[in-house]
Amino acid sequence: MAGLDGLRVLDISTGISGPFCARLLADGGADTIKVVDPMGGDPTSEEAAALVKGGDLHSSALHAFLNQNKRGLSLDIKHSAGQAIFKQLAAKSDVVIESSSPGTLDELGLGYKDLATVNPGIILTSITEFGQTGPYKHYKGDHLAISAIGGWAFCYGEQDREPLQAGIPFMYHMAGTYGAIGTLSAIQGRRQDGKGQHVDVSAQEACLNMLAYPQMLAQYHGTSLPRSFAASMQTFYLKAQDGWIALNYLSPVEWENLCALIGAFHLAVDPTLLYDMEKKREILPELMKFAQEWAKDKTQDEAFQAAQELRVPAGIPYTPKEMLDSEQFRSRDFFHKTSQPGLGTFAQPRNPFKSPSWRSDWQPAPRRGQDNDEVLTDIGMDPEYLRKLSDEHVI
Amino acid sequence: MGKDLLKNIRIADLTHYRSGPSGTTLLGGLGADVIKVESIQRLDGFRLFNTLDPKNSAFYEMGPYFNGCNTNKRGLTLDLNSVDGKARFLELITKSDVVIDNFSARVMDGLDLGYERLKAINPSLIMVSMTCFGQTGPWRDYVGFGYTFDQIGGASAVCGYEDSPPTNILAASDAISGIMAVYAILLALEERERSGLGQHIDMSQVETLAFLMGPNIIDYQLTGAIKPRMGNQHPVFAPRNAYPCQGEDEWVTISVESDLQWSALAIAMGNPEWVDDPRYATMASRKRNERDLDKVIADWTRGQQKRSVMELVQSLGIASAMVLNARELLEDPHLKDRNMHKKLDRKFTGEHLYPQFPIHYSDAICEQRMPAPTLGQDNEAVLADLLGLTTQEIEKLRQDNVIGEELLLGAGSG
Repeated sequence: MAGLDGLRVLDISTGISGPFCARLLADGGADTIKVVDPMGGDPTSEEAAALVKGGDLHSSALHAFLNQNKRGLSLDIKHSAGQAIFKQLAAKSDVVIESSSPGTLDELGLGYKDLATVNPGIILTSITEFGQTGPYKHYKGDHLAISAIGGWAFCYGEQDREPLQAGIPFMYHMAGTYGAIGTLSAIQGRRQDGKGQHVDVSAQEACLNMLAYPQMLAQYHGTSLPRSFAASMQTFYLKAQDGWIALNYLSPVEWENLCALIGAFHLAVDPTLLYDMEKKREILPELMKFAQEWAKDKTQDEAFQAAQELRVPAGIPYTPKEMLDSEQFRSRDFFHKTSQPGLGTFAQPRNPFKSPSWRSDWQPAPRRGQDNDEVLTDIGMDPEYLRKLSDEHVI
Repeated sequence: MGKDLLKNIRIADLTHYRSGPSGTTLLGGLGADVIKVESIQRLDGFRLFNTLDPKNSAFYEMGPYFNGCNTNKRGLTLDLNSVDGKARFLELITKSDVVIDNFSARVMDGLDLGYERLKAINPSLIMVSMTCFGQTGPWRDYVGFGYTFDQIGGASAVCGYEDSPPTNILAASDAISGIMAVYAILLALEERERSGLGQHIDMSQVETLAFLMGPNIIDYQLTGAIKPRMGNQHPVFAPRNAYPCQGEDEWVTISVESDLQWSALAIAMGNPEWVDDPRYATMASRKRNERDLDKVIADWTRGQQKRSVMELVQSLGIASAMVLNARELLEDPHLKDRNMHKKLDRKFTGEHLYPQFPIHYSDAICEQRMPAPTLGQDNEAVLADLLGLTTQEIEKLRQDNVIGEELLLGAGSG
């Protein structure tokens, strides 16, 4: 039995954060219903679909990833009949996940107060760019903007060039995960008094929590690290025969081992090097010379194995191809074969950690409105009425 | 104000450095009793990073990073290599709901504190093991930390400037696996509500990051193409970048996602002729001429304050944001309005503002409650009040160096 069996979630969010949050809950076994506009769909899936040649709304990798294990309902919640149906659904649900601009649901008569009237136990989780309150609450954001105003970009990149976002939408993954935490902790709290609540998650603030404490450094030392991919000088990217390899170290012992590995014993003798950034910067060219010499006639894998043998925490900057080929991932069944209608058959990551609480009955991402009949007759709606709604594009 | 959502949940926290502690601090912020276990023989190594005063005998109490990610926890020392330390730890386990560690896979078994043993004394225990590569597989015992996860988890290869080597991503995977561990715990607690049983969560931090690469992994199999590093650019939309503003290292981002937005921006920039200019009129042509566009936009932003640009561009309905540095985060009016930094007073280091969590509840408390514990700060409270030891028993543990409140000289860090 999955951990969240018996929980029902209505996912009316778009973008990445909200659907990612809902997917974590769906993977955990919650009956998660993805609600989309009957005419519009989910713009994020469409945007991504444009990237896949000949793709339509349902044949995008992002849609397949974000919406698996959810059921599909199309419902126009801007229409009064749609709003009435949504309330009936909310009355029989535990959680609503949404990502609209603050105030939008209130205007539709579907805000927290409206939902709590029909279901005092309901948990409304809003995951937005800037949160429900404050002067920026109606600002438009994207991953780049959030990375900038959440403090990430200033630290990431090189000093003499423009600040950067990360190349994958981490801030939204973080916001989505915080959304799932906010939701399940509110479910825990509901056991105290039967009451749900409104949970407000901000992507900007998720970004703030992704930082390696530059605010602490600024206050303690009055300084900040220079913008650099390797400000701490604890990682060195080297060219091996068939691609990049990285040597990293954290502890003094690992530093000694790293120097021994590349034959630069003379750099290991001065332990103060580790804590003196100036000195470290001075010896960097010398270190890189030895390291590059060491790496150049090895394959990535040979270099990685040799380093790990000496307990140097090395890494290979894996591409998807290398991840799929990796013996380590394979031995743990990390990838599983899936079929997404309209898209094809492919392997994808199973779950972010191993636990008996994940659901075992995997389902592909739903087509728009694929489960309308099942979901709506479940709450007692008449098939005749459903046909009428369909004709009016409410569903 | 509101409920303590995780009251009555106790976490025995063996994690060190960043990945575990950055998650358990949130559990404490939600009202769980988080007991951070170190020893006077092996400190959390994060204590040593960027310490305020390396020459001070209490240098390990002065680390900004450690103090940043260990708020909301009580501090206990126990030498887990000693017989008495193990015995007290097992007693703590009988009174805990969760135990969490981020050692290499072999460490807990090596201490004879593996899941099977702990489960035998507390069947409802939830154990989270945050290893590099997992409990199984040929790389089980290989070593790694945040940067290693960034690399093998697949992020480094797609992050950076389009012309730069792969990059580490500020060990972002530490932050991700930290909160994913919190989700794992909440999921397991839900299951325990019904089954009454605990479980062992096998988290490979490499896999936690690799999970997020799902769309790229699917894309690769569908198209055969490996996504390149793209800086701030978007595969379809343009312009989209960070642009220099008035002052030293001041920047603002602008992301244009439609022709309509482009028209509004071109007019606001004082160049209405660019609306129909064939170089810029469509998304495809803007994407082709992205480099030129970046130059003309930079020429426009360079003489302006970043805040003015953001406010103007936002008023057009276009995503735009200032690049904020650490100081500015502390002073930003929006973050201030949302109470995102809270002042805490800590022994040895005094008052500082600590970042708060991104979850705001209408009826629950989620905030920084207390500063990071000094070494062994709550030894008495935990050993006497929770485990029922007498003053004499506690003193004996102290004499035997099983517990203590100061680093044992000559000892190292974890």
